[in-house]
Amino acid sequence: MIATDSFLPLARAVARQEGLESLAVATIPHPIGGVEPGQLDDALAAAVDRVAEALLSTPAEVTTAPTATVHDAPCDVLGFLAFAEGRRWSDGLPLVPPTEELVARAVAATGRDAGEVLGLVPPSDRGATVAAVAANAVMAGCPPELLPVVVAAVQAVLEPRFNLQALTTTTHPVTPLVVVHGPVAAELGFNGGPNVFGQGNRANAGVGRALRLVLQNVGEARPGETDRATHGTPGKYAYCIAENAAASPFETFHQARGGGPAGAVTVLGGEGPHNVNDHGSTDAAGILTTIAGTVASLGSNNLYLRGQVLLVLGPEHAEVLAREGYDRRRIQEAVHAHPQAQVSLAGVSEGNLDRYRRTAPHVFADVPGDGVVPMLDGPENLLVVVAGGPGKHSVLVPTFGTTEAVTVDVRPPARGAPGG
Amino acid sequence: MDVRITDPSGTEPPTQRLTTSPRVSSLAGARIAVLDNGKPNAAHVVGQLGRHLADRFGAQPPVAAEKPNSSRPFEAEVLDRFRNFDAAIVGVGD
Repeated sequence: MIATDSFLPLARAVARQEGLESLAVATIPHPIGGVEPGQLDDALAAAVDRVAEALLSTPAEVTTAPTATVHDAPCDVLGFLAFAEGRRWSDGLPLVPPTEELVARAVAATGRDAGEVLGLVPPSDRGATVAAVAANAVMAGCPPELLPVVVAAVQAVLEPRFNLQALTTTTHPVTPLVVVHGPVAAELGFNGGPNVFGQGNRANAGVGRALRLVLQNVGEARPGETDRATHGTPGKYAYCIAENAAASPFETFHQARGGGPAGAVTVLGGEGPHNVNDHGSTDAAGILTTIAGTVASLGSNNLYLRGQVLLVLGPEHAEVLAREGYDRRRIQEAVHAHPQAQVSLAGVSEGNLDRYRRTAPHVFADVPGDGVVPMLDGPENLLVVVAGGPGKHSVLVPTFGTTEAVTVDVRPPARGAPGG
Repeated sequence: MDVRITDPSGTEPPTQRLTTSPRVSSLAGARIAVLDNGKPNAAHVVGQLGRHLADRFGAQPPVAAEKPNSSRPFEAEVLDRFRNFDAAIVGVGD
């Protein structure tokens, strides 16, 4: 395997995933992109002997030593935080000690066995047991009743079409956005109203942070090593919102996603939220123009990897649209067909355009004479949810592109279960 | 004074090993696949290394395959083409 030297930890992790513990990795200087090919030739010539040696070597099989399931940790606050930091369990913020008692209550609230494995979390492919998910949720500050939501979020990101392997190892600033919808959102106190993406709500913060800690501590997505994000995103601390169903003037997101009776989560591989500010429009046409113009963004992965974009409609924008008869489907169709939801390739470099032709030939192989291409492949690629509070703002969440939103029902524990 | 806590890292990963071709003792005459993972210049990197191996060690001219989207795995039918090759060069990087 060839790795640029900055990516060596990820190369090792990928080899380990395939059971080839000591697969020989020959490194070349980072980066290989952003330069003319010929500029790499001296480094490649110098690497040939190492590559030949690697091809002739036999990798050893992965050997594993079982991880201790419990530890005796200092019970004073600073002592525990140092203990956790030493094991790289922290996201940089203080953690609640996952004592056996707290974890047992959290496990009980799921109605599942502690040893049940929800799935393998890349890039480590370690198994997300209910006990480990509960321990991370406790560390994140979740009370037991949030555990069914955390479990659903973990199950959702592990669906293959979500493409978690790529999301957790990419240089792109992406992380799973958890959207909580259905009855569970109000029952457990999630915020779908003012400051929905912001601070101040234990359920939003706890579930978002718990999922991130699972990715870090089970999946071993470690910044600068296997998590190769160039900049990352503040959403990597916690990224969870709820639908504002009470303010949705048309079919709720929960109904549209086919969520179950207790509630559901939808996960989306999203960039940070981007504002759609329209204080000036008084009608649907104006608001749709602003939304379409914001959808058409040159910097996002969605231009060349396509895929889905999430529109988080502020209730006041939604109300104006609904007043003129727009429901979710009509909004999707109007934005998709809108002349402003088109991108002029005047802002795309030749080098990038070469790449785009490979990744999305249906858009870039035969560009019309005016050099303008659509941003969305279809109306359904614009997901629409109403959330937020008073104000003339909506929010757009571009995605990683090569990912698909996944909805999983929240399964409440059986009636009478401890913590349920 | 200590408190007993639960480890948050889950269970060990599966240890089944990817089935690989038997290692050759020499690269002379070896059939080598070079896989372009879709990153800029990846085709040049693996192709150039394959050509060097042919020139300097007598390997056969490299056979290339590509995937257009670096965020997806190679299609199984692409990898199947190299099932009986002696070695492959793949890359991780940017």
